[in-house]
Amino acid sequence: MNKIKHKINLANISRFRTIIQILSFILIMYGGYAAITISERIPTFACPYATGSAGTCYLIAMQHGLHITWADFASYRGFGFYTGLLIFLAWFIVFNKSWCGFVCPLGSIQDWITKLRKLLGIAFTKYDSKLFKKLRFIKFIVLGLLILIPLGMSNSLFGLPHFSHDLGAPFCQICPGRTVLPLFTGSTSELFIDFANNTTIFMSTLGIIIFVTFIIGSFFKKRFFCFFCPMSALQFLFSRIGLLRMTKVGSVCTKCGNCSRVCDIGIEQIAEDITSKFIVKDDCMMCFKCVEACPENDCLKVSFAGISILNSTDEGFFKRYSDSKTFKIDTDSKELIDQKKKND
Amino acid sequence: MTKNKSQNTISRYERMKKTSTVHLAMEYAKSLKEVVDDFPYNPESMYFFYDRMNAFLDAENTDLANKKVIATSCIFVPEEIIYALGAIPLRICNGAYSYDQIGAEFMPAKACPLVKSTIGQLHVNNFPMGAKPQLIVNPTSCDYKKKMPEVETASEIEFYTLELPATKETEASKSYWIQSIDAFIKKLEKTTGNKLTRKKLKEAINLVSQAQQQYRRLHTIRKQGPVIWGKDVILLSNSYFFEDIRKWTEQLEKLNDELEVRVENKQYVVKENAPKILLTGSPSIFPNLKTPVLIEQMGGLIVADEFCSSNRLLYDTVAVDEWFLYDMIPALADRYLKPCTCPNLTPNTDRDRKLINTAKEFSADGVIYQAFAGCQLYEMESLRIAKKLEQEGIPMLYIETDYNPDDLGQLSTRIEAFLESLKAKKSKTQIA
Amino acid sequence: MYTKLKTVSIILLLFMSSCFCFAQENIWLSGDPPPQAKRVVRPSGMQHYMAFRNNRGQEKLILWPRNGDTPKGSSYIDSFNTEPEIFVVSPAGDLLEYNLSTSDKGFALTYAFDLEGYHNIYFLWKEVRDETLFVHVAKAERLNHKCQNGHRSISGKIKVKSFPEIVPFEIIRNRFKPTEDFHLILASGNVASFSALENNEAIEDVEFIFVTEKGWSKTVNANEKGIAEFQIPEDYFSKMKELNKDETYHFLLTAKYSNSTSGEYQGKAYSKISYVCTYAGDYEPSPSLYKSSFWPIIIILFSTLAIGSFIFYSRSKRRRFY
Repeated sequence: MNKIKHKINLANISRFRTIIQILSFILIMYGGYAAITISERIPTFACPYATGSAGTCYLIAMQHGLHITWADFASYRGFGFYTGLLIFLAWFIVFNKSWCGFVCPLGSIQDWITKLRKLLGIAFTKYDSKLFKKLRFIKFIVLGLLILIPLGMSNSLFGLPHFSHDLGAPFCQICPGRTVLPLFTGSTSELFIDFANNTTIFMSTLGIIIFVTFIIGSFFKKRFFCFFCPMSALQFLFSRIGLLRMTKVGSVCTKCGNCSRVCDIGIEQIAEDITSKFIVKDDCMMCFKCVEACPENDCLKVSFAGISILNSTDEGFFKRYSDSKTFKIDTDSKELIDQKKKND
Repeated sequence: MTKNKSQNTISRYERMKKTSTVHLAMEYAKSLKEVVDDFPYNPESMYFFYDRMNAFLDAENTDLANKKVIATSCIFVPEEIIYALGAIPLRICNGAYSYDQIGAEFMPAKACPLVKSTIGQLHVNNFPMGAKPQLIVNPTSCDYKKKMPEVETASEIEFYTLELPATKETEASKSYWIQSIDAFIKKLEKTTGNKLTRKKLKEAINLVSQAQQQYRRLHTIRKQGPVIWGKDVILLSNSYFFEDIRKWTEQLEKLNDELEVRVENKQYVVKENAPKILLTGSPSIFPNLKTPVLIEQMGGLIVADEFCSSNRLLYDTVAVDEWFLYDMIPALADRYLKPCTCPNLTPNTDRDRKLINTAKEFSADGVIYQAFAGCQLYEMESLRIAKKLEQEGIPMLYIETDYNPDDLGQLSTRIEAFLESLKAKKSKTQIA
Repeated sequence: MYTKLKTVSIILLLFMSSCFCFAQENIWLSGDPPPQAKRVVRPSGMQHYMAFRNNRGQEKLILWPRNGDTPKGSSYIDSFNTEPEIFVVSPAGDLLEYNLSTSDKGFALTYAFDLEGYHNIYFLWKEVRDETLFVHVAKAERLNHKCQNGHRSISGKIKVKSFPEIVPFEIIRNRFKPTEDFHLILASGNVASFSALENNEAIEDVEFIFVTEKGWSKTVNANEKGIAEFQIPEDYFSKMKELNKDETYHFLLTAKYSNSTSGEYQGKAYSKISYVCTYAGDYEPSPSLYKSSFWPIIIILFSTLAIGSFIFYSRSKRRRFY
């Protein structure tokens, strides 16, 4: 058992993650063609607008489910919403936020765009910590709107008139998943502007602009969209009860910042926070790159239902981040200096 | 008249140079004898490092004579960049009392002996293995170092001031530091005539990473049992200052292999109940191994230290996500600033945590805090550290010393008393 | 003058009432509630059906029998001259219980709408007059679908189902293959294809009369395969601002066919059968009226330019370290 654990601690988790990402992308994007349905409430962007989707993103079900009157919350329809939430939670609790890091097709696409940028050797952009702290609230605002707008369609919120039905599933209308994912099944039908009325014009134009922002943004910023993703915010609300956990032993931490450096989102708290045990922050997607990059033994730990599965070790760190093969750097020898002098 | 005077000074300088060499040789021999001959169970593989200490004086060894050498005066200088630009870093932090005496001419009486000694070395222009440094990279890590370039010595080597932020917590300090590194790279590119490339820097990071890996391994071994004297670890860390990094790594690997066998066979250098000491404060640099040697002669064992000349030297690592200059350089900058526990940074609470954690990890019984007379930064932090350690129930001994061997008697009394109290406490808890 | 008007009106009334007597053929099943019921029921589901839940949480669907030649001009009725036989067939092929009564929802048919798939509803009148068997069928098809139940096994659930043992003659809407899914609502511009089945066989030369909401009509005879196709016209011309893309209109399709089969029904012999079937459906404004695929290109270009130059600007402003 200890041997297996030791091996896992030395393993290249990122490569494993890439493989899982490719497999789950194929399953989620094209599984529908093979009549696979995982669930209608999975906590990841399995977009039903893409015809082959094997399952449905919970956000769409939630938006539909919340389109009910206050009275309905105590009735059969409300019951449907509650059971939906429970199914979502059942899926979510098992893998916690690693749905984002390992499964989400939109996240995988962003990672591949990042790989393309790396291939071109173009530097990435990082938010400075001030901007970061401001921007991270956006996803909670989006989540709030996503809940309030469907409610406001069937109820009068704060004395406002009922919202237009054109705002149905409001997040889907601006979600880059709706515009990007169908492209992978060869359909551009989701790229449209709906001129039916002002609401639809606004929402569909916003959807297209977000589509463009997504593509350009994720080219320059790693996991650009995940920072604003309401699914991430929704998951964060429940991440404490997840079976898969990531914890930090603050006293061992040297604040070297390796973890926040390799973090695709750029969470600085993972290095700075030395008091919290549960280190999964709202932006975290549990890709465990930080565990890979942590050189302190047992500082960052990943456990499943109390069973530890991955620990940070210095041995593992050096195995991943230092390459013994490139041990050949040479300093200028005397001959070289002489040659240079001659050239001068 | 003026001519006469200058003749006089020159002759005086020559004389000083000559006598200092003799004094240095004596000091080295004495220190080595103490370190090597007075202790049992020195590992076989340590003799390489002992010998290399001798080579420091060996005029025939000219390994560095024809190489581009960049002298560094502090741990803050990113050596990976120096390697990547085809030069060799040579740390000139010095522990010699004979140089300290020369340096005293240029510095106030109560100045830090380490800086004085370094200035003394620069004045007599004596570098190991015939090295002729092209540049001295001098970070502004304390007031004495800040003023070092302004001290007019006989040395004609150019100083480069690597600017350090006063804190590491703010966004501004991070960007200040990286700008500082950026300027440093440009300067070094000019000095060496080489261009920093992605491939070279990656190789350099890997090169240092290999050394780090072995160095961390040594400490993992030290945690498992008292298989090596602390003075040996401090000495071998000092040899990293001038030794060829690949040779050093190879030898350290050999030593680690030997020590691992010792761990398996439980061949300990002291009895297991010997008081375990964590040494911290102003760095002990060979030949000034007065404090560590005293501690271990008195029956203590240094299990770990927190010196910028040894444990902190190769501890912090570089993690690069994308192996391009745009990510490697900030990663390097982070390595030198973020985890640093140098007291010139404020606030320096990381040092409290690090000391407590190290004491726990290495199961140290007590902490000995060494501060050089004149090293205000370490002196000032001692009270806070003492308080923090007390809260954790770790006893601490504060000693103030310098390079002068005069205080040996007083030191040994205090250290002995401290060790006795640790022993008493230990046996009490064992009985309980 | 006045008396003249009176007599005319009496004659008219008499004529209309006599028409009414023989006008069972014009009854069709509408999903639109009468004005007095509009507050009581509201559309639910993607197909805009009038459904509601009763106290026990059971979902019910309502259909209103209406009388008239055009969807718009048809009136809601509150009783039948001749009582029809009524069949509500579930997606599984079972007969469902129903309730036809007058309430605050109007004179309406109500039945449980729980199972997923197409429900078929038939009103059937049979009568022998002048040695002719008149068979009149009013048919409606209603799809029950909840997205939460998933979108798999589409083809099985939307398959056309006919019930010759219940009704000898019926109109079916041929499904769009393979594109039809649960969310299909016919729109102007779609070519809808219909067949009339006699004893489960599509027959040719059936006369189909297709009437749109406002009364435009077209008559087509089924081809040799028994298929009649209609392209749904746009009979509404609203300004862009007033366009409601979710507005549903009704079309009314009537199929007429007679053949000389002799037989006996309720003790009366006949030598000829005359079939009439009504089938009402919904259509929406065409998406091509308001959905543009061209504008996205322009917006993509513009936003690429804007975002690109923003990034270029912010990157050039930032101090770069290699």
